[in-house]
Amino acid sequence: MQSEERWKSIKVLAKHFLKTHLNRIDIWILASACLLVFSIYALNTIRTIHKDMFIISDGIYIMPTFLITCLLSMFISLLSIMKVSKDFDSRIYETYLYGPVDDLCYLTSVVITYTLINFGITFVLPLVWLFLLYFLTGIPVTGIAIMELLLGMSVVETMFLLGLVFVAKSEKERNSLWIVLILQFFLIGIIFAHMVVSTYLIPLKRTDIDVFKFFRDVFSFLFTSSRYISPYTSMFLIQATGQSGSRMGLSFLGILMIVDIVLFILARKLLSRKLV
Amino acid sequence: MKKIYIICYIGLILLASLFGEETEYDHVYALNYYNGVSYNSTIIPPHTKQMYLLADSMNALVFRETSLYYWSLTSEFKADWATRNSVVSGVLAVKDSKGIVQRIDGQPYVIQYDMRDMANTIGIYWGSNAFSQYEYFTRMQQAYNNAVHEYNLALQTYNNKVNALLQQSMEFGLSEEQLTAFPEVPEPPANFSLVSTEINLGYPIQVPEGKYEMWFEDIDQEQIRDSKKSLVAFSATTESGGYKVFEENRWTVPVDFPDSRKTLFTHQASTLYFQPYRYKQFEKYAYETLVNPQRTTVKDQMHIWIPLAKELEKKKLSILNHEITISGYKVIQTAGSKLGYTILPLPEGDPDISFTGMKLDFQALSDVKRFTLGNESSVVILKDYRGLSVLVSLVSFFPLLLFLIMKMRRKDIRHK
Repeated sequence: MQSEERWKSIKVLAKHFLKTHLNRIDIWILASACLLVFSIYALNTIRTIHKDMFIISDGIYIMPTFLITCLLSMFISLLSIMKVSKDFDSRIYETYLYGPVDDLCYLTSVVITYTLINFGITFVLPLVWLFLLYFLTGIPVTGIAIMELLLGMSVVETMFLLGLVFVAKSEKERNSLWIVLILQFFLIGIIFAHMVVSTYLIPLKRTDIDVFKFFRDVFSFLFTSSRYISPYTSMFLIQATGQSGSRMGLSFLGILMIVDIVLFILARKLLSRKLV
Repeated sequence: MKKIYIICYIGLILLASLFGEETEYDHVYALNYYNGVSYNSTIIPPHTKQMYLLADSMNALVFRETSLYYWSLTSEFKADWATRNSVVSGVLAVKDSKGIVQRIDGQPYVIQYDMRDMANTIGIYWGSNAFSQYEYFTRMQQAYNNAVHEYNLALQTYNNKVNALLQQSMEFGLSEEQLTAFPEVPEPPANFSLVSTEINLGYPIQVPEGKYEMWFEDIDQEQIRDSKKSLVAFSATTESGGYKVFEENRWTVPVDFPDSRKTLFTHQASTLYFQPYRYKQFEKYAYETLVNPQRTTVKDQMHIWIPLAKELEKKKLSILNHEITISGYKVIQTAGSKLGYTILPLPEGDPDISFTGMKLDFQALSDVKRFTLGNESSVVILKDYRGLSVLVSLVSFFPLLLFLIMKMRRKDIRHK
C-alpha cells in the first residue's frame, strides 16, 4: 500500500474513531472529573492562603497532576482495550480490511485517536484551566507546571500503549483488560501502600518484635524497585523531589518517548503475527 | 510439726533465692550527636541495628548499662537512668568498608557554646582541652557572679545616694552643683550567655561519608552483647540561603523558606517578616534517623531542609524598586485580659529587640505581583479570590456543558 493512501486511510479511520468517542458522554465526564480534581486542589490552596496568610509550596499542581495521571491512564487503557476487543469480537475489524486498511493503519488510527484524547484531557484542558486561574487569582503558569502536565500525559500514553501490547498478545482480547487493570492497580497501589505503611504502621504496644517490620520492608522494597519499572513511581518521585523541571524530568520524558516507540513497534508486530 | 513447717518455709525461701532471676540490665549507646546546628542526645537501644551520623562531624558516644522501658506515647524505648546508669569500660571499634578497624579509647569531653550565636560558637572539646575549657567556663561564670555582685553593690550605693538627695531636696532644696553631680545609674553586666556541659566520659567518633560497622569491646577485647551496629555517615546534599518567614499575627510560628525551587503564595492584605538563614538539605530518612535512631518508618527518596544559622551579612532585600532593610522589632503584649500583641520597630542594637527581620507589607508594595529571592524561589502575591470558588467549580463542568450543546445542536439538525 502506498504511503499516501495509507496516511489517508489512517486519517479517515482516526477521525471516525474520534467522532464515535466524542459522541459518548464518558470522555466528557472524564474531562470534567480531571478539571474538578484541579479545582478542588486549587480552591483548597487558595483558602489555606487566605486563612494562614501564606503558604510555601514545592508546586501546588503536583498532587492533582499525579491523580489525574492515575485516573486517565486507567480509563484510556480500558477504553482503548474495549474498543479493540469490540472491533475484533464483533468482526468490525474484518470489514475495515475490505477497504484500504491494514493492521498498521488500524493500530496507528487507534493510537492517534487515544493520543489525541489523552492530549486534550491531560494537557490542553488543564493548561487552559491553569491560564484561567492565573487571570482570576494570579497563580502563575510556570514551566514546571507545564512540564508536570507533559509528564502526566507521557505516563498515560505509555500505559495506554502497554495495554495495546497486551491486547495484541492475548488470545482473548477481553482477558488483557483484566491483566492491564490488575497491573495498573498494583503499580499505583504500591505508591499508596508505601505512603500508608510509612506513615501509620508504627508499633502501638510494648513488644520487642516489631510486627509491622515485614510490611515496611516488603513495601519499601517494592516501592524502591518499582522506581525502575513503573512510570507511576518514577513520576511520583520526580514530582515529590521537585525535579519536574530539571534534567531528571526531561530525561524521564525522553525515556518514556523511547518506550512508547518500542511498545508501538511491539504491538504492531504482535498484532500482525496474531492476524496471520 | 511446727519445726518442720519452719524448715520447709526456710527451704523454699532458699530455693527461690537460688533459682530466682537476677535483674538483667540493658546495654545501650548514649549518643551526643551533632545535627548541623547543635548537639543533642539520644540512645540507641539493643534492637536498633542501624544508626546515622553526620559525616566529618565530631560526636560523642558512650556505652552504658541501664534499664530500658517502653514508652507507648512515642512508641520508643527510654532509659531509666535513675535505676541504673553505669559506663561500661572498654574500647569502641569502628570498621570501614575496606575492613580497616579503628579502635577508639574513651576520653573526657565537654560541649560549649555561646547562646547569642550558637551556630558559630558551638564546640566539643576532648581530653586536656575539655578540662581547660571547663575551667574557662567556671572562670567566666565566677567573673559574671562577681560582676553581678558588684552591680548590686553599685545599685545599692546609687539608691542610697538618690534617697539621700531626695531627703535633702525635701528638707532644704538642691543646689545647682548638687543637681549636676546627680549619681549615674550603674550599668548591669551583660547577660551570661556561655553554656557548658559537665565533663563527661565519651568515645569520640568522627568519620567520613560511608558505611561502617561498629561494636564495643570489653577490657578483654571481647565484643559485648548487643553492641554491634551498622553505622552510616551522611552529608548534606546541597546548601542554600533562604528565609524563615512568619506572619504578623503568628510571630512565634516561623516557616522555613529555603531559596530552592519553592514558591511562597500570599495575598495583598498580609504582612510578612523575613529572617535570612542558611539552609542545608539532607536525605530525609537519614536525618530523621539521626535525630531518632528508633524511628520505624520506611526509607524513601525525599529530602529535608534544615535551618543552620542566621545569615548576618544579609541586610536588605531588593524587590523591583523597593528596598527592604533588616531591622529590630519588639513584641508588646496587650495589657489586660484581652489576648494579643503589637509589634513595634526598634533601632538595631537595642537590647529590648524580640526579633530582627525584614518587614514586607504587601499593601504598601501594591505594584509588586511576583518577585524572586535571587536563586530559584519566588514569592507570588495573589489577587482577591472572593466569589471564585463557585466560578472555578463551575468551569470544571464546562466539558459536560460542551457535550450537551453538541448533542442539542445535532438533535436540531436531525429535526430540520
